[in-house]
Amino acid sequence: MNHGKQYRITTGMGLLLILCGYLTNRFLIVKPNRILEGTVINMPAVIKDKPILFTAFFLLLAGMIFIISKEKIKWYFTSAVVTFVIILFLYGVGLYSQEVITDFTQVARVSLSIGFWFVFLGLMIVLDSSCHYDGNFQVNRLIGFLGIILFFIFVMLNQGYFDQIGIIKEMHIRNEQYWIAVKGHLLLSLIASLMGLFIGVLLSYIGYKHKKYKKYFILVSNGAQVIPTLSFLGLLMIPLTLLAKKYAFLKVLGISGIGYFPALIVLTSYTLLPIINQSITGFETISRDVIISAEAMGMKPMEVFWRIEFPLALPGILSGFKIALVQSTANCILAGLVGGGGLGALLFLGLAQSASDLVALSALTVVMMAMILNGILSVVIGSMKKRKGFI
Amino acid sequence: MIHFKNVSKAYGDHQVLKDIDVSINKGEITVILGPSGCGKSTLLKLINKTILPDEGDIYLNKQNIRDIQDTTLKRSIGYAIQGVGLFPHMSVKENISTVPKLLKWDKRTIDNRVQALMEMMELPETFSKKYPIHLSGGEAQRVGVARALAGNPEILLMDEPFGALDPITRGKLQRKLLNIQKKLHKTIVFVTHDVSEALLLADELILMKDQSILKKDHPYKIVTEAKALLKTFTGGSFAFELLEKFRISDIVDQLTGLQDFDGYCLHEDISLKEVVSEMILQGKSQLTVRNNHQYYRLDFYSLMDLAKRKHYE
Amino acid sequence: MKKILVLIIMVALMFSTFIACDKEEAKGKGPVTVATMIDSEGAILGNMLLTILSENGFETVDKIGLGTPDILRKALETDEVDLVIDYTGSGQYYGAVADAEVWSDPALGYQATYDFDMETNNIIWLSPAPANNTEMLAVKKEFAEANQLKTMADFANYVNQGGEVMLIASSSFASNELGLVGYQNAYGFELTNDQMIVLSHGNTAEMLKALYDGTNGVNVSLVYGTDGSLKEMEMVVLEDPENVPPVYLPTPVLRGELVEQYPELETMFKAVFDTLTLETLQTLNAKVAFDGEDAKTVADAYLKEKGFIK
Repeated sequence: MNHGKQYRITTGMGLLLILCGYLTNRFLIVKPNRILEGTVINMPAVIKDKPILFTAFFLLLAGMIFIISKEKIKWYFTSAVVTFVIILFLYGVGLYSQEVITDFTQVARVSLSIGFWFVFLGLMIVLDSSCHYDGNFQVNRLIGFLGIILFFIFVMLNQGYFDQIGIIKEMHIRNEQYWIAVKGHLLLSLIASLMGLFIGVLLSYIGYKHKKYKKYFILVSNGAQVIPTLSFLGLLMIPLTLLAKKYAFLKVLGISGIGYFPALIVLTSYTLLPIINQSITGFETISRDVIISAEAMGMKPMEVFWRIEFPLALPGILSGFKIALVQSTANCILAGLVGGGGLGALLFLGLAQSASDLVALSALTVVMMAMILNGILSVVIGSMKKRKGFI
Repeated sequence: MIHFKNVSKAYGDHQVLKDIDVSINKGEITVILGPSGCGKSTLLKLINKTILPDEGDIYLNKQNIRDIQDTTLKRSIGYAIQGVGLFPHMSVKENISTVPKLLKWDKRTIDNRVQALMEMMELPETFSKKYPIHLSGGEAQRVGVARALAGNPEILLMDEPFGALDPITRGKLQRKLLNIQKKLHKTIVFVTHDVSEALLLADELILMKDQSILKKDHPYKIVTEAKALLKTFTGGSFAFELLEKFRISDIVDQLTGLQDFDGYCLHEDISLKEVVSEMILQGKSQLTVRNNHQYYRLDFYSLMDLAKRKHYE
Repeated sequence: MKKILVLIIMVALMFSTFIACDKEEAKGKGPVTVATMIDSEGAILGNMLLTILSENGFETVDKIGLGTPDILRKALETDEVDLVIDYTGSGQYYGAVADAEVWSDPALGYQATYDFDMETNNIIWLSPAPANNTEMLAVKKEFAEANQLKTMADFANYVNQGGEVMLIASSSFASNELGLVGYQNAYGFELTNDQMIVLSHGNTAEMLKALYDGTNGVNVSLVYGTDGSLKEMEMVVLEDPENVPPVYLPTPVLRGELVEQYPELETMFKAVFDTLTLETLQTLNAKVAFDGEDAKTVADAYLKEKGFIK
């Protein structure tokens, strides 16, 4: 019951956040063009204009208050209600933005301001809380409902309901560029993490087998982490440029002082710490008796590695990989400054043009990518552990 | 079958085995008994090349094991340890199948073998899909022994395998080992520091202390002729361990049945050790027992003799 | 466990073929790598170059928005990229040595940069656009009317009479002999440190927004000649009859080897750049920065309108 109480509290916090969003002035901003400020709209005004939203919110408030006050409650029902409210909320905002933008030159837009984000975040918190019934995290339920929300967002996006929202507008305008950036960003982060995985697991295994090297590897990976990203990129530029000048074939591979390669090196270096840390732990938590039995059975060292040590350390290794991937996705933004492309380039363009919606688009995309990757890997690791009967 | 010739082993300054010379017979349970640190585990590990000797040679069936490839040797010797070391990410069935898979047996043969071993170790069929984390200590060690025997090795090495189990489970497993040995006739080298266990299991007993072998003989001989020596290893109640080896049903063929009897008698087929216990409890030196619808009289003073004679058959 | 490994390897292989597939199909001439800084004008002009090259049968590699100005220059010097948009006045930072008067003159400044880069780096500055995208100061229209400011001299007066000033500018401008320092010398005024907000970069869009909102009391801002938002934001540029800052004409800059290989590029680009006047660039920039249109769309629309492409 303790857990149940905890999640009633978080539901309450979510509702509080929604209230803040409601009370603040800055819910939506209607901007006549990209740069200038425009008119600030608060939530009550939007609700008055859109009775659909009004009913949805009434439902939500009544429902949530009812829930918090009851002991035995059908949490499943709560999740469904919140999902419905979220979809209705987004739909209402989309519809409102459609109607409030009266000029058809495609210049004016509606920006989502802090009030909107408070409400949205609050709703998400309530949804997440409702999936923690009695301390048991119902991952599948959360994923299911998030899936439903995403589906509806996708449909509404396609139907054009969000076309006047600033972030979406920026995306539509430079659609091709955006998706190339997403692809490139993902690719760079993934490749850096995979390289880090390969190098990291190798070093971890050596450090696990020969304890004397372990501290050197940990030292190096720690050291890499400490170097600030931009300085790191700067430091690499000179030697890489010299190398590229000397050996022409490197240029074909795209290896030089600028572009994706220095970014790749920097990102890979950063992945070493989490991967090595988690992998070494993964290897070291293997019981000595298991290894003794395996060797005594006549398994060759390679067989011991592939059949016993690697599979047993895998959850640990993948945890490290998960951290590395999320970290790389975030760090990859800076790659945009040195010609590495990705969403960073878009973000800095937004900064250069003082276009907050473009900045928001890039930043939000990176966050979503990181969250999705984190989610996928967490599920994989969790099911791996459960299936194989470890703790 | 296994011969140690002038074997010595040291770790740095610390001498673990000094000039060891000993033979281990085929088809018997040879128990190496000694206190912690006497080198008995090291001796065991030299047999399957887990450790290599500094000096001397070890022969297996007259062949120097130095000339046998490591993996071939290890795959033909079963190894069971105290911590069992079951692979946590594999089911019971997969664990047991490990060596057969390494030996590249075909699937059908492996499945049959696993089933047979599980039956032999009294593991229910439902266990085959279970994972080690769900097993109790006793169950895990049963799987461990099954796994060690899976490849049908000639030799089985056991390093204090039952040491971490509770006394009842330990007793069950010891008896199980004796049982299966009756059918399998493996060459078992068993290391322990527990005198009762040693006396119970051994066909041949090796006493080790301070990195060398003090005595090697039949346990009965050691008990009767080297009592003093044995006492330095234990308290001294070792007669009971010998008596525990046999049950009433094992010795009745040496006794004459009574015509008829009326009165109190023991009718369960208990070990001779438990018979003595009953005698003490009842304050009698003679008890009547029933076995197979026949009554027999057991006398306290002749019990040891009966056991000895049974052993030497 | 082996299955997961195989999966990982497969995914990795898939992605590497992904990268390989991103390369454009071979067309004929080229490839020419076009790169620009991360700003709207660079994006527009860069895309114009890309489209022109494409239409004339060149294979291109798009590196618009490559990085900071330093990165861009370095990329050109190390042959990483082939064609960039740069500004004639920047020559002084790359090593061309000349007096202040030279930089204040469009033709002389161009020549100085041209000579330097051709001799030292075999980098050729092609025909520039007749638009001086130089550094000036701008104020809000109402502020100008209220204080009767039309020229830099008026502004100097205002400052000297103790008027409240908060200037927002880039650090390179603020410390430049031919920038703020030059203005101060030429018109006889001086701003103290508390009268300035100095940013490490030169993104005027941000500065103009600050000026528009009056953030931190900003009432005068650095602005570039071709900035698009001035009319919509109702701002005026203070006239500079002394021509203090160097002249910055946007120019396509090409590596020497490519000029030799494809001499037609010079005439192709000149035809377009000759039409890019100050007003034209202001309009185009406004479309991208203000209206939020995509630079490529704006560039292509302009080229079509002028008949450079079909």
